[in-house]
Amino acid sequence: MTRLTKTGWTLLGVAFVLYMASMTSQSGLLLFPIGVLLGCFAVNYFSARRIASNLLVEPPENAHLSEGQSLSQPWRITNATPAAAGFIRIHSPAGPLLRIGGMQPNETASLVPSLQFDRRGVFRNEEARVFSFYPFGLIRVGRRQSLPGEVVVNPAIYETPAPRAAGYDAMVGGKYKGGRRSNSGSLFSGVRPAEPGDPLKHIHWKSSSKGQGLMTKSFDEELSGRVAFIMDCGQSGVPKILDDCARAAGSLMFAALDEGHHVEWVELAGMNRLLVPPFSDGHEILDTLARIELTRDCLQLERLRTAADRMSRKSSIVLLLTETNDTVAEFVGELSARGRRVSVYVPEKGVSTAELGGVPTFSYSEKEIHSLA
Amino acid sequence: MNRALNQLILLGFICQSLSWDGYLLFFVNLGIWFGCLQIAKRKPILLPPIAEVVLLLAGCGIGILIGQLPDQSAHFFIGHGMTLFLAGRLLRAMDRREQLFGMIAAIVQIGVACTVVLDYRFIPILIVTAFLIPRTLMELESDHFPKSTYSVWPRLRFSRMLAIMVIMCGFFAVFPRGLLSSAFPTLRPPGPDHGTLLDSVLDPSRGGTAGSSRIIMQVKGENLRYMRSFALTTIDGVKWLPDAMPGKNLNNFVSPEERVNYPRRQVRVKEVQSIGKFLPTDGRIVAIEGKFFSGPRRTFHEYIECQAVWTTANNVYEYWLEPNPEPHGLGRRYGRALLNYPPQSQELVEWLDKELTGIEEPLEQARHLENFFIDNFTYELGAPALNRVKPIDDFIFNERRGHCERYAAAMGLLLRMKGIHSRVMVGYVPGKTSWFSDWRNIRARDAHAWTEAYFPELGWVQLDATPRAEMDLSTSALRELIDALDVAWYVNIVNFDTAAQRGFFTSGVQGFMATAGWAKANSSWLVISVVCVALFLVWRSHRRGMTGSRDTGKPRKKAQILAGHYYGKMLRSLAQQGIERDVHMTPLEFMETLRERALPAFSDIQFVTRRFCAMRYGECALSEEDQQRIETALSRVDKPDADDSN
Repeated sequence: MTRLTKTGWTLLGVAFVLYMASMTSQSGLLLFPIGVLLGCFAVNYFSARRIASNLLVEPPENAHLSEGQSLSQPWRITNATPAAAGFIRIHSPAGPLLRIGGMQPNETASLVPSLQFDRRGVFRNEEARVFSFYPFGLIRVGRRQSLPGEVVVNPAIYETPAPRAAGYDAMVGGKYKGGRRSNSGSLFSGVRPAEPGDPLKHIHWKSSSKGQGLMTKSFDEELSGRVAFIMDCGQSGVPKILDDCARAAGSLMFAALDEGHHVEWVELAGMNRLLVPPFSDGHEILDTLARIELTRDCLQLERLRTAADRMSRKSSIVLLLTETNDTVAEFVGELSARGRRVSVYVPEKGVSTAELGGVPTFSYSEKEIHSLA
Repeated sequence: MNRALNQLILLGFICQSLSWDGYLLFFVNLGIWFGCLQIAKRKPILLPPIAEVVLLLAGCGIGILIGQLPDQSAHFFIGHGMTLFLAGRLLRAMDRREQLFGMIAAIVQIGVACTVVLDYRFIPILIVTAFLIPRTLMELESDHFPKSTYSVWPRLRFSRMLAIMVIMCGFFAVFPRGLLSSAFPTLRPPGPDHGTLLDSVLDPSRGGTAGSSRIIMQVKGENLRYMRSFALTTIDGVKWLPDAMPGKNLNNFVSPEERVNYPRRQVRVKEVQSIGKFLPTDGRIVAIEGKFFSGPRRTFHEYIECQAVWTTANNVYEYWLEPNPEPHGLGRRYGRALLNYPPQSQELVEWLDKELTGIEEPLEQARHLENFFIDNFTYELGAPALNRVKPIDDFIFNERRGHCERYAAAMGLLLRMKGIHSRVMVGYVPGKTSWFSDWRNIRARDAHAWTEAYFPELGWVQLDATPRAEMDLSTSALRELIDALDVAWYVNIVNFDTAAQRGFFTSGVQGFMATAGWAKANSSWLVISVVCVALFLVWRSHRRGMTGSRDTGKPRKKAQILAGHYYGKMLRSLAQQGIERDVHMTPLEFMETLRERALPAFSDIQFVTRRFCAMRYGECALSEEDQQRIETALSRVDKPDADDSN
């Protein structure tokens, strides 16, 4: 990872021009300024190499961020050389992390990177590189240090209506009202005559005092649904669309969890099923979304069928696509024929559209989701 | 002005100014640089790009126009354009790209100095360049980083500077010269024929440099005589003129293998422009070698005239002399020509007859006249001009003083009046041997004119009628030193060509082999010496390891550790007494809270706290005495009651 900088290339060209001039003018004295320039190159190379090799970098263990956020924990940088060091840059795959102008011998500095992580992803610290240009900026010498930890950048989720759910089951805390009554819950429905076996604490004393016998409180049944997400991991081949898709997926899943639904999720690249119970904090969703990588040719009918088979049969199917095609239309048709409740989310623009058989279709963009039908 | 880039640009301006003769441009460029920076300091001016282009073109135009003047060159007109262009940018702060461009322009202008400043003036330029280029690069790179990211400002350490200098010298020494030998020689114009010496050197009344101690060339050889440049053979009544007849092409009459039998001379020409198109020689030559001239011809008057002479990195020639040249006849044509002279006054004819009364032999007559001038006339530079109509009469009867040309011219005329073939030779008198080598310096003031007379049985005989000069030719030790450095610089650096490089390596290899041979011969002593040195080094490192005297950071670190230890001990003692320090309190804040409690050991707490701050944050060292005082104070803090009881 040793390269000439732009300044280095320029001055190398100047040295060559001086050499040509020395031939035409027959003056060997021109070799002196050339020698000065080459001396600067040599000193630059050895100094920068020493700094890049001996700089001790201690990043924080793991960091979890959301898109658009910066790190808040400092990195410890120690100049382990007996001489002053400087012109240091530390780059991560996400961009430049740190810049250090000058450090004293054996000095330790704790610096907070100002880099704003704009895209989701997992940035391993071992991929970070330490560069030094010291002291002349002609040669850049870089070293990859085996640093522990990683920076996980989750997709930035936004508020959106929950997707349609299906397969409602009784569940304490469910936000959907069922037709039946129960003895417990948070949705007070009314009173009924007490029966043997009713707990004493459920007696509604106010109505019981009216002389019609003991009355017991009854509650509406609380239901929660099931939503199964099938996510296409980049059929379109456009990273930005996949990122938008990941944001939309995260937003929809969290909205579904907040509504008290069970969330099931299969991403078509790895075909791994994730089941998240309602009201979960959903960290595994964000972590998985952050780690999804662009994979083309994953939107295949067989994969879609396999994914649907792995889901609960009662759940509604939410298709999060980066592209629509005939395969999708065929799959949606199959699901509809089986009576499955299907919703399709497609990118706002930049992909081909296909006839989806009148299922509810939504479009997602970077920060919002719109209904198309 | 303190910025290295501005200083490098100034150096570029100075180097560019050296492409012109004289120092006018030097001061002009200096003024431009200073003025622009002052303006930028008070009220920066941002010139539009078109104005900068106009400045560039104006500078180029001025360079071309003034280059048309005599003794000036228009070759470096672009550099003059760059000077004005950069001056326009100095009026304001430059961005990074402009700074880099300014640096490159300055380096190119320094390159101009490398081609025109070949004397010792180049040494300070080189040193300053080697210092400023790294500093400028460092300055440019440091602008990339916010000031807040510097805990120490990068500076050019001596070791790095030394490394750059070593690499520079090594590169100069080992880089293959290749095409630098003489592939593209710069052809020099021949210059005014035969006027070079007489007009600009010998005659001080014409503003020449007759007294200059500037070294023109150096010559090496045994029994050196006067070195002929050219001959003046025709007199028109007022002055002597050169021969109009062409000379003969010079053939190397002897093969390289046979040259060892002939006296050899080597000449290093430092200022090619001073010799015109003539190669000074001191006899009848049989062969000549050199790479900075073409078409050498040995003329009838036995001086060497070339078709063209140019300057190269190594202006050296060598020639071989005929040891005992046989006189050759003059021939009818030359015989007549070398006796011609215009009619002279009756007074001069009578004086000459009277002066030579009783002397019949032509050679004796010539020697008599030579001695007459030496004994009765005075050498004087800058003597008043002679009568234009009868200059010889005026010189012999009235003035009786002057420089060498007058004596040579008068002597030549008087010899012809007595029927002796004569000519005036112009050339150089080899000076003293340089004090550090066996080369003899020939300076500008060593230019000379003398007379030569032809005698059929002797050939050409040299007659120098110039009286002893009473000039103070002594030079100061400093001047001698500068001259020596100048020549050393010129010989070893400027003339460092492929052959010199080969010699450098050869001598290096020979030195290495000699050293290796010596080491082999004295291997036992060498082994003993190495073992002794190694033992000494081991003993010294062991001793340092025991005392830790080299690591200056250790005592400081130790003091910091002890500071934390003592302060922690005090806090523990106070905590046992029910006095605890809140975590948000600094040591001094905690001490102030204790002041309000009027503790009996407060002064000790104060002392320990202040020493802790000094060692921990002020990085002060801890002496043995301090350590004892702290421990005593801690013991009082630990047991305040015992202290009270005492």
